[in-house]
Order: sequence, then C-alpha cells, then structure tokens
Amino acid sequence: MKPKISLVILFALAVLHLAPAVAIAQERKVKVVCTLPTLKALTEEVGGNRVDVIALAKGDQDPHFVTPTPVLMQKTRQADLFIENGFSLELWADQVANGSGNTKIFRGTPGRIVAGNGVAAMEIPAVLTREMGDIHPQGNPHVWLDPLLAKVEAGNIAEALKSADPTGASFYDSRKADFFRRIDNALFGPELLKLVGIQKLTRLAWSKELHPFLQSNKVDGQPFTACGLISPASSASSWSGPLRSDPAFRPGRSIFSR
Amino acid sequence: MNLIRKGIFSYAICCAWLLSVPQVSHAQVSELESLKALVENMQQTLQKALSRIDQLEKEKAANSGKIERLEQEVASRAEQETASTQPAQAAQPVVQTSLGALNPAISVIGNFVGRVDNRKIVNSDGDRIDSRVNLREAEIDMRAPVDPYADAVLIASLESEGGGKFSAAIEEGYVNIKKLPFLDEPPLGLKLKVGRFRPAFGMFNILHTHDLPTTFRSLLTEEFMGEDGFIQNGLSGNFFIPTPWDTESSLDATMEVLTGGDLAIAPETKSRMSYLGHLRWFRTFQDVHNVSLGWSSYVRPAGNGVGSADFHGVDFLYRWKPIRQGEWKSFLFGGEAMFARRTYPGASEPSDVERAITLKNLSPGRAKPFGVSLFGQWQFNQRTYGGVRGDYTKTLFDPGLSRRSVTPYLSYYLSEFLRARISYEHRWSDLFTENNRNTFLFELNWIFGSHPPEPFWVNK
Repeated sequence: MKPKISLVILFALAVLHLAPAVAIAQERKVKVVCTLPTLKALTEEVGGNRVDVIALAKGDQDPHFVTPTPVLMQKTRQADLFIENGFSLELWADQVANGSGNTKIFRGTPGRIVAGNGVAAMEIPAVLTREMGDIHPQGNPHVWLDPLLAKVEAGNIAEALKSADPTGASFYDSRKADFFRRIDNALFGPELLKLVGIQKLTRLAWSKELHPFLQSNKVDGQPFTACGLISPASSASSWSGPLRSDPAFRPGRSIFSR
Repeated sequence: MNLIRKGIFSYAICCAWLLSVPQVSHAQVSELESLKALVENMQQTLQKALSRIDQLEKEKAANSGKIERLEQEVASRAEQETASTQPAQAAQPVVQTSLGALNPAISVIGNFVGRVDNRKIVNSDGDRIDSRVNLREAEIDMRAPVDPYADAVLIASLESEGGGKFSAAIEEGYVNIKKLPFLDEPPLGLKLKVGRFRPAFGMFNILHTHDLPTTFRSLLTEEFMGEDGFIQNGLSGNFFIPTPWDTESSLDATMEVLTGGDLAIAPETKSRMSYLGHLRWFRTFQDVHNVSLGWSSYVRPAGNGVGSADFHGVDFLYRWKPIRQGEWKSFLFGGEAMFARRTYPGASEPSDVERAITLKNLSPGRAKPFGVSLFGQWQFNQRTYGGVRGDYTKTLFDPGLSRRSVTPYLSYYLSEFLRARISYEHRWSDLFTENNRNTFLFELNWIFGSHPPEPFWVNK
C-alpha cells in the first residue's frame, strides 16, 4: 500500500511540478514592440493570440517626431522583436532600442525587423542636400498607406514571427493568408479577383494601369464603371496637399464596380 | 369492249400522263428555285455568320492584343521601375556608400555668439571677452559602430572665448559597450560607457553647449562644476531598476568611476579616483505629461595628500507635449539644486569672475554651499520658443557670498539644423566685478552632416 501511495504522491508532485512549466510554455507569447500603431495592427492580424504586441507611437502622433523617453526604453527592454517601418521614418527608433539595453533588438540582429524591406522605394531625392529641406533620403516612407504594400509589410512580419516562434509557423501562415484574402476582397472584390486574378491586379495597380485596364475590358458584355477616383489623374500633378506624395494617392487608383 | 376499255383506259392513262408531265416539271422547277433560294438564304446567313465571326475574332484579337500590350507595358514598366529603382536603391549609397558605410557618421556644429556688456569682463588668460562677436565653438561629432558589441563616439571641439584664440579639446571620446561575447543578455539592460564623457550629474551637464536651452550654462553649474560643466575620463554603467507595478514609469541608475579632479569643487589633478551616482525616475501621465526626478551624488575620497570632496544634487523636469500639437505647442519647467556639506576655499572659479573681494564671511565648518537653477519654456509655434531661467548660488569658497542672475530668451528655429537666439542676462552678485552686469546676447547655432541623437527632452 505504501509504495502505491508513494507513487501517487510522486506522480502528483511531478504533475504539479510540470504543470506550471507547461502552462508557461503555452502562455509564452512572442513579445513584439512596434514603432507605429499600423505595424501593431498588422502584427496582430498575423500573430493573433501568439503575440503580445505594443506600439510606441500613438495613432494621432506624428511618427517622425516621437520622443524617445525612458519609459519607451523600459517598455522595449523585454521585446523579442522590434518592428519598424524603415525608410528613415523613425529616426528615434535607434535611441529607444539602444537605450533599452536589449541586445536582441539592436540593429543588425534577427530581432530587429524593418517591415518595409522589399518595398521598392518611391520618390527618392535625386540630390541629397539640406537645401531641399527635411527630406527622406531613402524615399517616401509612408508605404503602409497602400494596402498592397501593407501586405508586403505583413508578409515580412509573418516571416519574422516564424523565425522567432517556429512552432507557430503554420499558424502565422494561415493567418497571413486569411489577412491577405480579406485585403484582396476588400480592395478588388471577389468577382474581379476571380476574373483577373490577384497577381495581375496587383501588377496593374502598382503600375497604375488598373484604371485603363478595367475601362477597356468588358465581362459578359458589361463594362466596369468607375465609381470614383481617390485622386483624379488629371489634377494629380497640381495636387499641392500634404498627401500628394503618399502612395495611396497615386493618380489612377480607382474604385470600380459593375 | 375490253379492248375499247383497255384503249380508253390506256388513252386516259396517256392523257393523264401527258397532262401530268408539265405539272411535274413545273413542280420540280419551283422546288429547285425554293432550294436555290434556301441555299442563297443560307449562304447569306453563313456569310453574315462568317462576317460576325470575323468581326468577333477581330474584336477578340484586338482585345487580346490590348491585354497583351498592357501586360507587355506592365512588364516593361516593371522592368523600367526595377531598373529605375536600381540606381535609386543604389542611390542610397549617396547616403551610405559601401565605403561610407564603414566610416563614421559625422556632424559639424558651429556656435556663434555676439554679446554686448555694460561691464568689463576678463577671462582666466587675462583677455577681455566683453562686447564682441565670437565663433564660440566648432564641434566635430563622429560616431559609428565598432563591431557588433560596441559603438564609438568622438567629439572634438575648438573653443574660443574671443580674441581669435582657439583651444582644441576632446570633449567626449568613448565606446558604448552594448553587449559582451560571454553574456547574451546583460542584466537589467546594463549599458557600459568607457572613455572620456560628460558624467551624468543632474540634468544639464550631459548637454553640450549648443544643446542648452540658454546661451550659457547656469551659475549653479559654473560654481560647482566649471564654466563648461564637468567632463572626465572613466567608466559608466547605466541600468534599469524594474518597476513592474507601474508600466508607465521608468527607474534607472547610473554608476560611474571617474578620474578625480578637473571639477570646480575638486580641481586637484593629483587626486585619486572619484565616484558618481545618478538615480532617475521618469513617468508619463496621460501620454502628454512627462515628469522626471533625479538624484546625483559625487564623492572623491581623500588620498594622495588631497582632502575628500563631495556634492549632491536633485533635478526635476516637467514637460507637457500634446500628442497632436506636439510640434507646435509644448511647455517645459525644470531645474536643478546642488549642495555641498562644507566650504571649498580651494575651489576653482568661473573664468569670467575675478575673486575681487575679501573673504570676510568665510566660515568653514558651518556654512554650506547651495544653489538652485530654475527654468521654464513655452513653445509659441513650430519655430519659436521663449523662456526664462533664474539662478541662485552661494559661492563654494565662501557660502556667505551669493550670485544671482535672470536670463529671459527667445529661440527661433529656422529649421532643425539652424537656430537663432536672443537673450538678456542680468546678474546680482556679492562679487563686485560682476554685480549689476547686463549682457545682451545673440547666438546662432548650425549643424551640418548627419544629426547626432539628443537627450529626449532637449530644448523641446
């Protein structure tokens, strides 16, 4: 009887000993610090409940001029991943990352992610001089304003999460695919996606040919009708507002219906 | 009869046949005609169908040609874009070439000061420095990663008090050791700094002259540390003290081991090592209100025939910077207070102050040097900042003597890299050489090259 009781106690102790470890392993989330709320949103879309993510900048804050306070450094100290947009937008990011003393997120380490990697730079100044005022030497950094480029950023984030958390690779892939599908549907509509295909639509959109392509083609004898343009192509050159340089306001980006 | 019947029958048959033959031929002709018409009709229909097919094929060909043309155009444009981004991304090397990538980021800072004084001012070399214009400082800031473990900073300065004489100095030259090969994760986010640097005493000492909110350092800093503040060789470690109960606050400590001397309160160069500690608590309230509180202590033990020295300080800063309007409106209110536990008759004094007074009130052992400096600054718009600083300090060599000043100023940023400032300073002092001194100042500060990082609150 005694050996049985001992075994039961031993087993119970083992379970009690292992249970917290299992619980911790299950609850261990990838800690992600993003510079911008948009990147946080993308990370949450891809990472779901496997990530614990915060953004350093506020949604209504100018991302160029975030103050690298000690509190931001403290919040960044335990991060597994530090995700920034890139294109020299967050010049304050290095100060936060270095000030945190977190070696996992120093520039050049696997934990430091530039979400804009792979996005072709636009509007790179031909001449880099302060005579031009406050310039972005690496081109227009506001890439997330274009949903198609936001997909590129989400893809980079997914790859980073897969590296940081290999056991969740399929989870991140499926969430990324679902996110992409939702973006594509919202952007083009399921009918157009079926007819033309996302790859061709993406190419046409990036090359600003989507509008003429849809105008010159009919499906079942019915033409596509432009409901409106986000930025009229004819007046784009005279656009003088602050959004002129944003990719989402490229001339020719249109909303179509049938 | 039968024959007749047969004949009649035959006749009838023949007649019928004869009568029927033309009808048959007539029916055959109409059928042929109808067939012919039908064929013609079919031919026309076929012709129409063929022409429709041709038309449709032409349309299809035209459309597919258009699609192909569009696809070709897209492909060619993509190639062109790729080609055009190649030089553009290769143009990044304009910012950082493959060779430039290994060189440090360099910034040059120029600081020009013009002043008008109502009294004569003489520096430590005996040169008059009142009422003149002067390139006060030219500073070269270089910084780059050394390797994966450390970043290096070198700041060389050429300084002048006037008269065209410049003195060269290494204002700062240190390496920041970010991590160690045998320690993947430094405890508490420890960061080490080794070399020559501005010790972390108080809030203003770590700032370079051109980063100050006012043209000159406070009387307090001059009195306890020196005209240019405190710069020393040594080792510095900064680390966080966890505050898990409050995620919106930060507590960090800096511990430094420094060479003794080169400090107004302890100028003896033959002194031994000294020690400095700084504790800072920082909190953000409602995203827009920042509060920082700090405590600093400097201790130099006795040794090598030199007595001990120590002084301490508290610093605080309140900053209001709204999220949306933060680049247009902000408010700063801060200050420092320093004190020592005894007098320092051997203390060095600011270069523009002659100790032209009898030490009549010197009372060692009883009085304690003390000083405070307060400043407030309001941002009027994106470019314009106005503020005022008030200083009060007892002298180290005789705490019975005090010095006071008030300095209103107005700073205008033409850009982040070019700043103009006008200010006025009035002094009241028990040192009669500086009592009732009025000084009008104009300062122009410029930076070119890459922009070095600043402390989080500097000026703004």
